[in-house]
Amino acid sequence: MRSPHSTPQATNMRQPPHAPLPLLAVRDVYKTYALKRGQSLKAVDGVSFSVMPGEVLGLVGESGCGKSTLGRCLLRLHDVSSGQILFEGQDITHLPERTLRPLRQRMQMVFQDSYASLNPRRRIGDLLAEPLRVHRAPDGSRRTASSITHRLTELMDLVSLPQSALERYPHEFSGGQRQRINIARALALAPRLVVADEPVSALDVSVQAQIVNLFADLQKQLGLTYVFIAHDLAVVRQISTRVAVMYLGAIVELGDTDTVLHNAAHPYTIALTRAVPQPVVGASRHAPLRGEIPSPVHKPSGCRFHTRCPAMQPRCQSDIPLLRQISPGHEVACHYPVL
Amino acid sequence: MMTKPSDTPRTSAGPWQSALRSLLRNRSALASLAVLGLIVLACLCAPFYARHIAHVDPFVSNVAGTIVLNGQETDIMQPNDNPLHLGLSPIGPTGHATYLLGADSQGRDIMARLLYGGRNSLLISFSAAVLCLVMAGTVGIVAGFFGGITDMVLCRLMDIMWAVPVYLFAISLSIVTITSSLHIGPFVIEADNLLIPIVIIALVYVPYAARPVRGRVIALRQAEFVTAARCLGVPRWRIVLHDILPNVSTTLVVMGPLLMAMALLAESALSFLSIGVQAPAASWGTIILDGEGLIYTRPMVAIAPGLAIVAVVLALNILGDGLRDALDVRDTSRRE
Repeated sequence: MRSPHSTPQATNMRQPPHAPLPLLAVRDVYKTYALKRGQSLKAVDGVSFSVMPGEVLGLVGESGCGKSTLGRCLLRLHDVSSGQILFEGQDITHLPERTLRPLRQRMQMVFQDSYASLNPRRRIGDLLAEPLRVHRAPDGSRRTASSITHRLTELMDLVSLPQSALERYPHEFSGGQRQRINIARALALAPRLVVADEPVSALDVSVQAQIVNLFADLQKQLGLTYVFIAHDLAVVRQISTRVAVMYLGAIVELGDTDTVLHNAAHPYTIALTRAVPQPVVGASRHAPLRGEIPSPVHKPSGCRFHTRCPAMQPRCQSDIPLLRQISPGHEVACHYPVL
Repeated sequence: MMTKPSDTPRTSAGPWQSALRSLLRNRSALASLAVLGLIVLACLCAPFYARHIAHVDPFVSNVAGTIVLNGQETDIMQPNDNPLHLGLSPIGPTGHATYLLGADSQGRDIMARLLYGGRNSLLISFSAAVLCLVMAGTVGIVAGFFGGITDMVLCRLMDIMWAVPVYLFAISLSIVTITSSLHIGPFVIEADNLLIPIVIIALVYVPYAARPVRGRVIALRQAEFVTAARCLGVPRWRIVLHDILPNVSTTLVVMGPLLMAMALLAESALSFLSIGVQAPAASWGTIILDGEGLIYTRPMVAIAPGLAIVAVVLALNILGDGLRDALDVRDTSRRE
């Protein structure tokens, strides 16, 4: 499923009038946390991208690069410091919660910690019914108990859990099953956009594949749009149509999955792809990245990556590279992209 | 309260059910429950005991009265055993149904008064504990969940209350309300109304109980399932009722017995200072006060209610420990 890429650039964000409307558009979003002694932490540092309906955008990066914060900002679980978030073309950046609430039916989230995101004192049926009780049916009426029961049955089938699970408590399930429950809850209101915040990173590898497959199946079956956050390229490769690579709060490379994973232009992306273990005997081992990820409080000047970059030039220490298009649908924030 | 009992057979044990099960396996908790049950039952039977077993009226002075002991008519007020036989002392423990534990300085049956007093002491301490939990729960949840200025104002108010020693605070409040009966709109609360000690004791322990609730709520507010609920568009009041309250209720339930024990001690102290339960009504505190002047001649008058207080407070503390062990869901449910 490939959609035309009318990706906005940081400089020019206007969509041509004939282009389809992106489901989600993020324009120059910053999220800053004030620290003590006048310091601040820019968790998200000027991010722009858009996601077309039916697309799966994989958001990858090391832990602490701001991808989860960005994910929560997209759904207004955190307020952004500046910038704009457009959902279905509507600016939701500063909508009050009351106005936002009806929109929440169409944008949902699956969290990383499958246990912590389910209230341990409520039965699964009760947990899944909550969104259905809170929101009115599409025709504006309150949902009846029987329609809720009917929907719960559908949801259990959708995520391949037995109906008896509805009567049980979260602690009675395994991690994979609980993540299925979380997915069912996110899908209860038939959303268009699902932000998945590292939904499989806390699971066993064998279970990871099942859950990723479930995500992929549901995406095809229901025509969903995902922003799929992960730190594992293998997971992203399996499900994404496009990939955005984040480093220290900013997107450094954005493009089709194949392009980003096989023809990466940013040295950081290249280092990430080479860090994936190859199941080939005698596969050459590339030198991993040197050094630690710098503190997001004291970000390096110029290109954020220059402290660890194998191809660093003098200019990288002073000039901040902007995200620019190097080929159709492929954007890189690097002065000297590898072509 | 939180988990609806379902009628389907495949339902699994809820957190409350499994807590009850583990409480029933706890022998010391069961024993303390039995002691409490016995004491409550005995106190409930106070009128029956006074009328049909002891044949006394524990609320009227009986200084000139006599009782028949071993076929002999005996004065309730007896000459002292000092060499000169000066003054009178009430009769000591008789070993018979009548005046089992002896009489107080007004010739009233101590055992009957002990049971009647227990009714008041237990009623006041139980109601005060419940009222305190309701108030502290509300304050703690509001302060913890809404945070910011609400939290600051509520916390500083509690700090001010907390800065005054609990007993001094209760004593001053009691003296004010008891000396001038309370007028709230059309209602007049007289000095002998049990509501006065109940409300005062509940009030002074609110900071004590609200603090842990607030802490728990602050932790819960950041829990991912609360974020998930916000993400689903659940209104805030609904998050408080459905997600926060069920998780805080265990904290409240565990505090209940401990709070009741403290309330019982406070009630006894106030009544001992005659600013709690008002004469002629009795409570364990007032009986200790009655026994104060007789402590050398008839120590049983003060010891009996003292032992009753000790028994109830101990049992409540052991029960509280048992409840805490039984309700600590975090340990059992996270295990995989």
